[in-house]
Amino acid sequence: MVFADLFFMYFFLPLCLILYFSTKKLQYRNAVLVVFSLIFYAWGEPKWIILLLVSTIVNWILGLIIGKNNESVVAKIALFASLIFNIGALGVFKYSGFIIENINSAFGTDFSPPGFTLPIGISFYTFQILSYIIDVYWGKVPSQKKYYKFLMYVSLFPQLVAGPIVRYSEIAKEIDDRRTKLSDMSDGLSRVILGIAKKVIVANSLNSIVQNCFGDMSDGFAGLKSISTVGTWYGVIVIGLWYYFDFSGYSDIAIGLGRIFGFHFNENFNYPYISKNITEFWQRWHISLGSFFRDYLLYVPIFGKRRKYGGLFLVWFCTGLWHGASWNFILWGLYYGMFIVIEMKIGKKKMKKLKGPLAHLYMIVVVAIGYGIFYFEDISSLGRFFKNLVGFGGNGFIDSSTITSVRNNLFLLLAAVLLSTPIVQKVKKLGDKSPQACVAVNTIGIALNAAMLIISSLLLLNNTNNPFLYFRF
Amino acid sequence: MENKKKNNYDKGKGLVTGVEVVNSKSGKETLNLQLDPEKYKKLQDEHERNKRKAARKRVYDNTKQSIKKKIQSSVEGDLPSVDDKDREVKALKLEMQFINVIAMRLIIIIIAVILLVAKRESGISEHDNRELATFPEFSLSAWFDGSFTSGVTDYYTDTIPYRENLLGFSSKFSKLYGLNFKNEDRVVQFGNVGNVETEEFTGTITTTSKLEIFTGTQVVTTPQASETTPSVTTPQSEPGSTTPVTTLPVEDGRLSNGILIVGSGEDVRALEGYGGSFSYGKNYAKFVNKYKQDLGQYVNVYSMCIPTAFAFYCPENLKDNYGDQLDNINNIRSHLDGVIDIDIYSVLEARKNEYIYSRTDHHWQPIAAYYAAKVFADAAQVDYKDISTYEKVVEDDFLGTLYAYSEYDAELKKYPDTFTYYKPWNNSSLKVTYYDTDFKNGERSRLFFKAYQKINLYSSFLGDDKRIAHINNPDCKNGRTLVIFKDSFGNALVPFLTSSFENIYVVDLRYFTPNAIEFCQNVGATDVLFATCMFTCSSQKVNYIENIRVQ
Repeated sequence: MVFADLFFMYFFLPLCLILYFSTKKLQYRNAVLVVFSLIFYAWGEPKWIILLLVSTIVNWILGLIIGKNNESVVAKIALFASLIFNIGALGVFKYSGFIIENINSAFGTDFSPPGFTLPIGISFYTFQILSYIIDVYWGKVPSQKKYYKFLMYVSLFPQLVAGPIVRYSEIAKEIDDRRTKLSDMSDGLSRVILGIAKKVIVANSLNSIVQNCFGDMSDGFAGLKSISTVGTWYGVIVIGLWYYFDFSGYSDIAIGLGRIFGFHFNENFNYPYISKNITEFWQRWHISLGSFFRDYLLYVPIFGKRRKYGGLFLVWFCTGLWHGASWNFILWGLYYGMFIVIEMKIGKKKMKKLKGPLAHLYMIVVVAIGYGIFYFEDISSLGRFFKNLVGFGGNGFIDSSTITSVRNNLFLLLAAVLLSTPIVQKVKKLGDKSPQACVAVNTIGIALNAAMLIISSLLLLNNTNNPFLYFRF
Repeated sequence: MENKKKNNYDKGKGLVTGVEVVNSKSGKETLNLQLDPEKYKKLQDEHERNKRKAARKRVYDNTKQSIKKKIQSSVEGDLPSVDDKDREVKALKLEMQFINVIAMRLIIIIIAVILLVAKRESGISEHDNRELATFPEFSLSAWFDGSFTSGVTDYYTDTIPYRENLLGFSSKFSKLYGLNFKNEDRVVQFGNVGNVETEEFTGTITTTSKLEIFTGTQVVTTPQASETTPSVTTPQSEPGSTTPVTTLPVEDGRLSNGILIVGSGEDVRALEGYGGSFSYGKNYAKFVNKYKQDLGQYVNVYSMCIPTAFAFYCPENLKDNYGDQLDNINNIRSHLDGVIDIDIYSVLEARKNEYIYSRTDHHWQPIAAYYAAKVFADAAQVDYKDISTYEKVVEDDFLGTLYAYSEYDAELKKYPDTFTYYKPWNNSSLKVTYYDTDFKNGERSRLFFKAYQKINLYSSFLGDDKRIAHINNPDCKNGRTLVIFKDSFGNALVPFLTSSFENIYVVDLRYFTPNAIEFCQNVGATDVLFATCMFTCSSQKVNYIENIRVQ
């Protein structure tokens, strides 16, 4: 099931909320959440729900074993069993086709790929499980004794299929004891509506601009053949806005739904586009993924403590690979890793000397080119993209359809740029200054909520099938 | 100001009362242990009195102080102290949160209930020109391949009550995204026309006995940049994308959501602008020529370019802004080689005062197809039954696709079309089989469908565009097998050709997965007819013709 969908918004969610809030018994509430989460998952993935259940049972048992045998050999064995199971499952279901393809082309063999369809959300819930197992092993959290509570943690529908990667330690307490306060309910609802609006009103429209500029995988990125240099730059910048609104919109909905149920997930996006360098960008973009790799991969001394570049390479290789089984994603990850290393070499202090707009421009250019690498999945299109970018595409400096596109979407683009800065947060803070401001800001907020909800619903009538991007991962 | 004072006073009182109760209780307990009841009562009374006195004093002090504060603050500029203000903001915030929760829940619940109880839409969507989803049948296999759940979601969204009326919102809303100058509108073009160019055909056409061969030269005038020419868009525009057109001097008509509305009263007519390109037209001819080359001399290949209503009903003052269909037909004709050209333009033009095109739909009326099919039958030298032998079916109140695309123009709604189609005399004896786009899973059915009527009448014959139809006429023994490669315009020809060919295969260019040449050979085609409208003949869609030949 998808969040930005009328069936979810006006059938599944209300039903779930009514049942959830019909009693105050936490046990009952947890049961409602488990049942609805499983229905939610099965709705889009009726087959692979088995995998989810098997995976949770195996890891729950291994978690118990690790918890009981503190730091002994048994715990170590259980840890490795879990790592192999989880990474193995990810490898088989997500990467087997890619690996076999590469083996075939490298050795001229002819193995046929197994052709698994990617189980929805496997990248996310596998990482959640891994974080739990490793935290239990490190003694950061006690193991969960009750299976259904562990299942609830993994399958919790707000974050199940497309993140954020919620750590067990974040919500361990709230699984056993939580309340939805008025502020949770209010902020949660507003957040969900904001997320839906980000996706339906902004992201989907930006998506169609990108389609018009470049085309997509299905038509072999046909637009690239005729787009001008300015058009190419315009296109990748719109891609950046589109990805931000799509991904952060999903995170908003997830975090908002979590709050409605009394869970407090960590923020996943923190206005990445106000960053002044790439290191900062990755501290603000998809935070739950970046911090996962930082905490569980970078500091694991696979390469020894001294060889920190080895660790960095691994982290960025994995970050790229995590986004998809394709070389362009790996390239994309390493591209970022390269800038991170360069910035490390320059040093924090010197990086800060690059000031204001210039630093910002540097970040935008690097990130925009990054999106090009991310978007153009086949290498020849990527090459053509780079040619266009530097003016050797042979399609001129600027073309009329780019001008038309900018003009026809001017307000949308301006709004998108403005909303990717913390302006709304600042306006909200104004409301704390005086009673009058509080009433004004909140009244506007409520009116906007209602408008966004209704507009999004109307727009959803038209595009019945427009899943969130992170579903692919 | 007065209200606030009163509030504070009340608050203070409440506070003190609370203290009083607590004190009296504890007093009761401690005293009870040491004194006899009478003395205790006396003491207790005194204690109570003292307490009350103290309380009164405290209330008095509190009020006094708060009044003092207020006076002070009013002197300082009517600002309550920081503490008070914060508390007030917090209280207000809670109140606003409460309102927010109630409002959002109400909206969600009200919509949810409406969607549950209101009557759902069904049948064919005029807006999307397709059949709406129906509730899926449950089966274990449907559950496990996910088609059941996705079917439920599709059904839920597709059949939302009032969907047809609400759909217009999104196009109106998207206009707010940027600058759309006055008079400028987004033109919806069915043919997905990449190049809007004004081209003029200036060659001459010589006619030979059967094939029409062009010997002159083709001159293409480049589009001139002036206020009144449609902007030239690069051919990268995507399917379904919209092409903006600069200021149109619509004097004899008006634009409604990109659809040109001309005439008034009973003559009101919706038109879509034509903007086909010569180069695509040339490609069309080249691609069709290849069929002749591949199929060889014993298979006749025909090309019928069907003009759209725009060719005959475009107001004079707008003609320069759009492409000319006759010019492009001549252009196509000049490039045909070995292919028999079926010229229906002149036939239809001569009858343009008859009711040969729907006014609210982008298709032609079946009677126009009758005239067109006659030209074809004559060229193919097969029998052709007169229109009097057909059973006439008249359907009133037909509002077609252009009505929907004009965002439900009121004038069109006032004067709906009458849709008249014709059933051949041998309709009941025809053996009609429909196959999927792979030419598999044949299903016996009939040529005409009653179910589709009133909503999308043009689907009355053959129903769905996608399926491959095979019509076998057991009474016709001339050994001729016709394959029609068509778009939706071609559908209307089929009923009139049922007595002319022993077998007819109807293939939609857009939805065909086998190799077209092999298909023709396998079914034993003696005649192959390309029958598409000018939007298809002169746009990117011509590529379908080549694609299905080589796929």
